[in-house]
Amino acid sequence: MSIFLSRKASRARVREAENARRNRWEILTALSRKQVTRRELIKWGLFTSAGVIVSKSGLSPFIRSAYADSSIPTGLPASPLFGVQPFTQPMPRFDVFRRDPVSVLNPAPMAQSNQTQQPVPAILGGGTGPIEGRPPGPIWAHQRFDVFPPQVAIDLTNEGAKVNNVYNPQVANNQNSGIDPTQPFNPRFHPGLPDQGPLAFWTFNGTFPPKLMIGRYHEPILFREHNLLPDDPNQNGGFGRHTISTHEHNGHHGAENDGFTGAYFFPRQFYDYHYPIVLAGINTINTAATDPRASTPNGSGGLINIPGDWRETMSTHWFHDHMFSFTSQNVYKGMAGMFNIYSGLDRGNEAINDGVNLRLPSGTAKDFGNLEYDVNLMLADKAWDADGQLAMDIFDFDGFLGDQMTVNLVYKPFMEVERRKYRFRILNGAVSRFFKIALSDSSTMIQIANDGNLLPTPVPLTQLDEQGIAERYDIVIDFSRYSVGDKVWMVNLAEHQDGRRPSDDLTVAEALSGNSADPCVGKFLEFRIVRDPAQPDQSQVPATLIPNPDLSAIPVARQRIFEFGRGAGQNTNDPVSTFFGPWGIKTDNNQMYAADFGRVSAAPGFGTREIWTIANGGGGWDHPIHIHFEEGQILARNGSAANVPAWEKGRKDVYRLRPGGSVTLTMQFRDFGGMFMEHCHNTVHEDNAMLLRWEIDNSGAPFLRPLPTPIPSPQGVTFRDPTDIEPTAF
Amino acid sequence: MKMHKVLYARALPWLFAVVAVAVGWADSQPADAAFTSTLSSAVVNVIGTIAGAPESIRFTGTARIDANAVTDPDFGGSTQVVFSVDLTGLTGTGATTNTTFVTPTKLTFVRPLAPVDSVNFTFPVFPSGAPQTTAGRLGKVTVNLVYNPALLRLTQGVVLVAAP
Repeated sequence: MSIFLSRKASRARVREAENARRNRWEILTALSRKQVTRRELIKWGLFTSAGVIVSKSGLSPFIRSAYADSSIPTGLPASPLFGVQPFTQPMPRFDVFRRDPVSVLNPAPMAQSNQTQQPVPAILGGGTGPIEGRPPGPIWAHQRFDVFPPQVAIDLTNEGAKVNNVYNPQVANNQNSGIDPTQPFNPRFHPGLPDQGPLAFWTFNGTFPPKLMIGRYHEPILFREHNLLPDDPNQNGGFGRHTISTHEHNGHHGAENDGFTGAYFFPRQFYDYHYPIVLAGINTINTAATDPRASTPNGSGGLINIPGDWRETMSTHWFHDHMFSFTSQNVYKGMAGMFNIYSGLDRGNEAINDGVNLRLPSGTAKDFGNLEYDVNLMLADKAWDADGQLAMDIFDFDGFLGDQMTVNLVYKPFMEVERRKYRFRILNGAVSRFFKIALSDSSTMIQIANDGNLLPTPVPLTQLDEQGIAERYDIVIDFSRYSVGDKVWMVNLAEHQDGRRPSDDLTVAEALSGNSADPCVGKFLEFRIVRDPAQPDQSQVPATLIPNPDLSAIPVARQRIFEFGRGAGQNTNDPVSTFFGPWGIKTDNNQMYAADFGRVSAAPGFGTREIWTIANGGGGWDHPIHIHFEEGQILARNGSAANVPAWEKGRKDVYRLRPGGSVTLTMQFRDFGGMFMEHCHNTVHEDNAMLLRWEIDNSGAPFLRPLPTPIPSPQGVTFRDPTDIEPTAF
Repeated sequence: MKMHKVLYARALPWLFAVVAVAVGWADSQPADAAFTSTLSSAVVNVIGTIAGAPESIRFTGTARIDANAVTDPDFGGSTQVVFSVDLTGLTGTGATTNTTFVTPTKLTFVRPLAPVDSVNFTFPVFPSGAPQTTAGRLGKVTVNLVYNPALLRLTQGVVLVAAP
């Protein structure tokens, strides 16, 4: 069974499915505008307790069709392609954010939130409110702002889709499959598909392609995000929420910069995120900055030593909305970008041979951050309506699946490559879909990083592991084995029937056969080998990359168990922080709770190390679990270290549990404090309501124990005591 | 609850119709049903040859297969098998140079449980001791699996190695 109708479906069947979609859309619209809650829909029986829409004719896409003579479900109507063929448009490289001096920011950034008042429109309650949406006061002040004053400003907006007239891929046209960046770049999945309207698609700076932030260690960034989304929450094109909170996934910095789900801000406000970009262990390891492996490019071919643990160097992050209970809608609607972090080890220059630089495929022209052969790929399944506008259906709490594959927000593109090595930073930017990637000729890729962390050793693979939502896999493909004129494709092997889990990992032959009912199985990106490189390939894949930090001498302060499952209860009823849905988390064998960002479920001590076991409470689903703040190391899968595969032996921040499985990991809680999160990154599960808050709050003033919960409003953020503290939290 | 008449002009009839038959509901939902997880393993002798230039490589040794069958009582879905195939116990010998070859390959698959299943995939091989930082040479392995669906256990595994 597929959730999408076959393109060969009868007109009557398609019409019936369209009617069901329209009917669901009305409830969805009311839901997204908070005119009705999920709890009420469940109460009324429109959703079952399992979290799926009731089997009511004209409402559920999966009940038997009035026209059907079998048990085949009606399914959702397929996204119309308007005659567009796959692999007929070039893949755009990411659009690189401009890096400005901090002096351009007006008003100047401050350690504490800027509470200068401005008028608030009547639709948001009128009166006045602060220009910055960051919670006020010392607890939400930028930690160590004086030690790490921002050196680079990225001043951006979040707004509806519009034409991009300032596309900056930072590579020449011939490294961008011939795309001329001086030409307007329209917000559309393909030149043959309609432009996305400003209510259909919301993204950073309002434009395609997706945005790339460039950073380097010890060059702190001030990321000022202006919310230019509509004042009226009803102006959302049917889904999406105009309040936002941007998570820098998985930044090692204070919680005030983490995009906490309850620290969202409103239209007409901005939020200053401060990313110090420091190595974990900065306070305790290599504090004199004597180890050159802990270093950052100096801009002229040399290195600047920095404090911290070089084995904690990170490379590939991303950033995305984390609005409480609306993350899936907002991320799907376009609020996702990537963040390349450069260091002495991974500097994005393949020629500098200083004994530290790993010389991974990148380029040579710039001191650091060359992108010619270092390519960001954001994979996401999308769907659109009969008018070609982005469509989403959140009625199925199992998860939302699109029926069209996009790479860097365009439909099944091609990429021109040279006969040499390339690095690909692959992000699963989907809402609920897992991917499993192979090349169409089943040849070898070399995985070098997992979740943005270079592995201890590279891993040659002919197919990657399943890649859950938010996981990043960095791989190297050597195209020198092909001839000019050859083509090879990236292929998705993971077949879904619903949003709960992949139903089948297909073989390459099965995926290429065209027999899968899942329209996102098969080829999705075409590589065209177009020429020999003009310069010799100087890049390397070293046999040793970054070994794991040895934590064996650090005592384990606590062990905790988190079970992710269904059947959550709720013991709080805060109108802002409490949510309800079929999913939940059970902490240390307490009751399983649905999300409430006012509840404290865990509070590791500052400067400690703990071991956490995260377990899947069922066999019918998978969950990619994300733990914010610092990278962890997987100690065991299903209780055994032998079950940890080679590509998971580095550091990670997203842990796929597998059906019925568990992951035991260890992580440290140091350097910064505040309230963080742990949640399923199937963002539909997260929103409904598989998320919890944990906090580090005992590092001294200004923190309190427990921390007060921020309650945002357009008129300003207030604070409340936690709604609940789980008995094993502290 | 705030109702908006215009927006609900079409949705309201359903809402009221369904409310009329809504079942009682409290702030909790059905707990997870107990799933079962059944692990079975097999160590299979393997002999096979990757034929072709620059030289044929004959592989011998063992492959380990671990199969974990996980049921889905919550949704009544198909039982899935999470199984891994570990080829690191294989050793190859080059027919001409007598070079020893190894592979680091251990792959995991999630497939619906069926009485008989078969997967095939390629795997890279490298001279023993050489850095595994290139594409390597490719072999192809076919894994044929037989399960007892009633017991959720792997009963037979056959692993064949050949040229791709």
